[in-house]
Amino acid sequence: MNKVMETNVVETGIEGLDKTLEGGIPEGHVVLLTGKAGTGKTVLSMQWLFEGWRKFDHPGIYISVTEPFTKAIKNISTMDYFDNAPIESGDIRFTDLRSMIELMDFGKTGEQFGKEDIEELISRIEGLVDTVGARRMVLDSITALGYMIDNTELFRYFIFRLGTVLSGKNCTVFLTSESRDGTTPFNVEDFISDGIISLHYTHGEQAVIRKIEVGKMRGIDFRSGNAFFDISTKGITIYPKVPVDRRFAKTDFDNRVTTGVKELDDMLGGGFPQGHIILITGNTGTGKSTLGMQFLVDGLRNGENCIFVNLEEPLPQVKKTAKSHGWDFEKYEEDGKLHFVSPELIDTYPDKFVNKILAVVDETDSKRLVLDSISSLPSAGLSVDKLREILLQLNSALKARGVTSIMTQLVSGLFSQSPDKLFGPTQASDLRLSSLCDGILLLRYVERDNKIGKAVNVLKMRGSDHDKYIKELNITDEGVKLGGNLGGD
Amino acid sequence: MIKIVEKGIEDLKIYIFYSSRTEPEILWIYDKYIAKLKEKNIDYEAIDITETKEEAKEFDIKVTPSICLVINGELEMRYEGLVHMKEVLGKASII
Repeated sequence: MNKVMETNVVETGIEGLDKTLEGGIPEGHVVLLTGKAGTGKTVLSMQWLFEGWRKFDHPGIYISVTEPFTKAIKNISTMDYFDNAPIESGDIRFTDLRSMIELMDFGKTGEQFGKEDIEELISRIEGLVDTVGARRMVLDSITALGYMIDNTELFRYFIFRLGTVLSGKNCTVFLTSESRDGTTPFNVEDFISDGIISLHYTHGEQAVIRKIEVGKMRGIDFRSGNAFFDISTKGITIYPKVPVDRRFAKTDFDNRVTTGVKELDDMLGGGFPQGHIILITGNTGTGKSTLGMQFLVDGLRNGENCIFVNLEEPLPQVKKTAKSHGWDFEKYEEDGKLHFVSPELIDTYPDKFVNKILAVVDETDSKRLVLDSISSLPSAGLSVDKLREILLQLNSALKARGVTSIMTQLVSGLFSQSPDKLFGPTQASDLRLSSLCDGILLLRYVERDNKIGKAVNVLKMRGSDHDKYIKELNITDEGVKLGGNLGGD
Repeated sequence: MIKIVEKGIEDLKIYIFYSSRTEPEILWIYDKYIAKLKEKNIDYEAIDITETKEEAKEFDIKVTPSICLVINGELEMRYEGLVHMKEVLGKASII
C-alpha cells in the first residue's frame, strides 16, 4: 500500500512496472532511468510517454540531447505502442536540447555554462511544458547534458531546479542516464533524483536476459529486487515478482471439483477441494497426463474455461492423444474454452514463467489448470531451488485466484524390483515438492500374477478424509478408470 | 481556427525554424506539406537556426522545430516542438 499523503500517484501505464511500483510514480517526481547502452532506456521512456497519452490523456515532451529525435522516432515506429496521432496533434512534442542551447544567448558568463544559462534553459523547458500542458517529460540523456555543462555543481543545480519547477506543474520527469557497474558518471544524479529505475542485461544461453530494478522511489513502497523483462515490438514487458502470500488463498473444502474419474471422486469424498494444488506423480506411462486431461475435459463439459500448460509433448501430439480418448481439444480451443500455454523454457526464469501463465489465467478467468509436466523444468536447466521458487509463486497466485490445479511429475524408482513385493518405493517427489502441494496422487506400476499393471493411491489430500486404499488403474479409450483395491479388501 | 480564405491567402506566410545540426532530417518529415504549400502558392520559409538566428530572435523562437503562422505581418500562431504540419495547416484551414 502506498503511504503517500496528499501526493497523487500516477500509473505509468506499463503494467509490469506499475505492479513493481505498487501503483505508479508520485506525480512531479524526477526519476532517473539508468543503464548501460542497449538496456532499453529510450524504449521504456518512449513507452511511458505514449502509454501516458493513450491511457490517461497525458500530453508529453521528449527532449533529445544526443541523437536526432527523428532517428529516435524511426526506431520506435515499429513498436506497438507508437502512434502518429499525438505527434500530429502536438500532444507529444519532440525537441532537442542542443538546439534550445543554440538559440539561447549562450555564454553570458563566458564560454562555460553559468547559473544564468541554467536558469534560462530551465525557463525554456518550463515554457514548453506550459505550452503543451505536459504531464510527462523525458530528457534523453541527462548524462550527455552533464558533459555539456561540465560542472558538477551546476549539473546538480540543473536537476534540482528542473525537479522543483516541474513538480509544481505536476509534470513527472524521466531522465535517462548512462551507467556502468551501477554508478552514474557524475555521481550526483542519483542523490538529487526522487526515484531510480535501473535496467541491466546479461547474456544467457540463447537469449539476452534483461532485468529492471526500482532502487529508489521517494514517498511510496515498491517491490524491491530485480524483475525480469523482455523487449519486443510490444515494447517492454516486465515480469514483476509474484509475491508469495498465503493470506489470500481461496481454498474451499466444502466445494469439490470433480476429477472426471468417478471412482477417484469417491476416493476423495467428491473431488479435489476447490483451489487445491495437486501433484500427480508417477513413472512414465502410468497415466499422469491422461488424468490431467480428463480433469480438464470434466470442466470443459461443464462449460468452464480451462488451461493446459504444455511443457513436454508437442502440442499437436497432445491434441492427438486427447482425441484418442474421444476428447476434441481442437474444438474446445476453437470455442475459446481451452487455452494452451507453452512458455519458453530456455533461458527462462521464475517470474517470467509464472507471469506468462497468470496472464492467461486472468484473461480467461479459468478455474482449472493442468501443468504437464514439472519434470521438464529441471531438464531445461532450472535448478531445484528455482523450480521450488516457481511452484511457490505459482501455487500462491493460483490459490489466491481459487484455481484448482494439477501438476504432473515424472519420477523414477517406482517399479518394484523385488518379486515378493507388490509395490515398489513410495517416494513421492525427488524434487522436494511434496510440502508445496495440497494433495498428492501417486501413480505406479505393479507386478501382479506375472503381469504389469497400474495403480493409484491418494498419498495426501489436505482437509480431506480420503480413501487410503491402493486402487487398480486402467487407461481405456475413454480415459482413466479405477478398479478395485489391490492387495486385499 | 484561422480563416485564411477570408483574410486572403496572399497575406499568409509560414516559417519553419529548424536546426540542421541537431535535426538534419526534419524537413524530410515536412516534405509532403511543403509541396502542398507550393501547390497552393502559399509563401513559406524554412530557416536553419544553425545558419542564422536573426529571424529566430525576431519571432522569439526558443526551441526547434517551431512553426510560425504570420498573417498580415503579424504572428498568429506558434507551434513549438515537432508538430506535424498536417495539424498546423489543418488548423489554419489550408488543407
